[in-house]
Amino acid sequence: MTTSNSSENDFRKRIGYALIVAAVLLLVLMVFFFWQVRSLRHNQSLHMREFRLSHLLEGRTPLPVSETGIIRAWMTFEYVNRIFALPPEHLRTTLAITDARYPRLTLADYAKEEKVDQAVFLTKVADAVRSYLTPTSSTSTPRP
Amino acid sequence: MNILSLLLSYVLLYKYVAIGFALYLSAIIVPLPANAMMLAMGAFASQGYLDFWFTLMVAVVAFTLGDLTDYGLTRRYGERVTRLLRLDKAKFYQHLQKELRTDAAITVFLTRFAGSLSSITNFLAGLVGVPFQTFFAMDLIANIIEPLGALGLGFVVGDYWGDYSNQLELLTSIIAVSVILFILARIYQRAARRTE
Repeated sequence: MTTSNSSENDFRKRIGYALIVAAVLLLVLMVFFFWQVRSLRHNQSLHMREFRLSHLLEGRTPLPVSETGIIRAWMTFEYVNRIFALPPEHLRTTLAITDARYPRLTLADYAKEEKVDQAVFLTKVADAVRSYLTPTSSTSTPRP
Repeated sequence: MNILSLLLSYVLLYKYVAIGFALYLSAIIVPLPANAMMLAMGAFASQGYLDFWFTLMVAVVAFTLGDLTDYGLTRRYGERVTRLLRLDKAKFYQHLQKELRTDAAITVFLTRFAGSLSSITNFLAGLVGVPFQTFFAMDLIANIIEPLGALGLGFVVGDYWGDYSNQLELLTSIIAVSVILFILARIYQRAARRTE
């Protein structure tokens, strides 16, 4: 009985220590979390959009020319075409892409295979997107 | 290219197959940024690149299968391993086993929202012999709610999902520690009652 009680007390003591450690950890994490949310607000980068059920069912409208900055190396040509609603052949023609895997090819892979600097290539892609979305540009492809 | 970028490239190239495979691996225990992925996939759905509901279905199936894999493994081989490590003789382990079995349903449910703590709970649930029906029911319900929240948030914030991935990871850690705290408090309460 005494052995059982001492083991029970020992168990309780260990759980108590673990409780204190967990509580301190929780406090630290919460401070970090609120600090991060505050800095997000401070940088005015809370971009919550209006949520409509119809968007879930129908999808969204294409991105405007001001959003070309979101183009990243991990994106595929197919994805870039889709989000900016470009004609499927626009990027291939403008950037003179001959790779047979186009458009199911990432921008990073293409830049690597062509031995082009990734940042330079991303700028070229953004320019090509802008050239289509800005009708007054001299290099723009005529919209269908 | 970091791991998230690599995963997103695969998601864009192979869509639901890549999503299912990556989420299944993350549910088992492979440390992949599943929450950031879910946010991005919600954003892809908002841009019309993925179907929101089908993505959700794939995520639920992948997460549940991954969790069941963990549970099944320790349910089948766990006892042998604990005997090999002589854990079955340790009083602390015996106590913990008993306590976890008492709080099985709520523990399984809550840990689905706690990132990698979920995989650890799966292994423990199999090890302590949580009934299959209890595990499966709680796992499935939480595995519908959690991806729905992450995908929904990604859908709402859209192209700015990257700004929120750190916050979501931190929030997951807070939930994980809160769950641990809650379980420990319940165990402590019961132990105190017994020693009184």
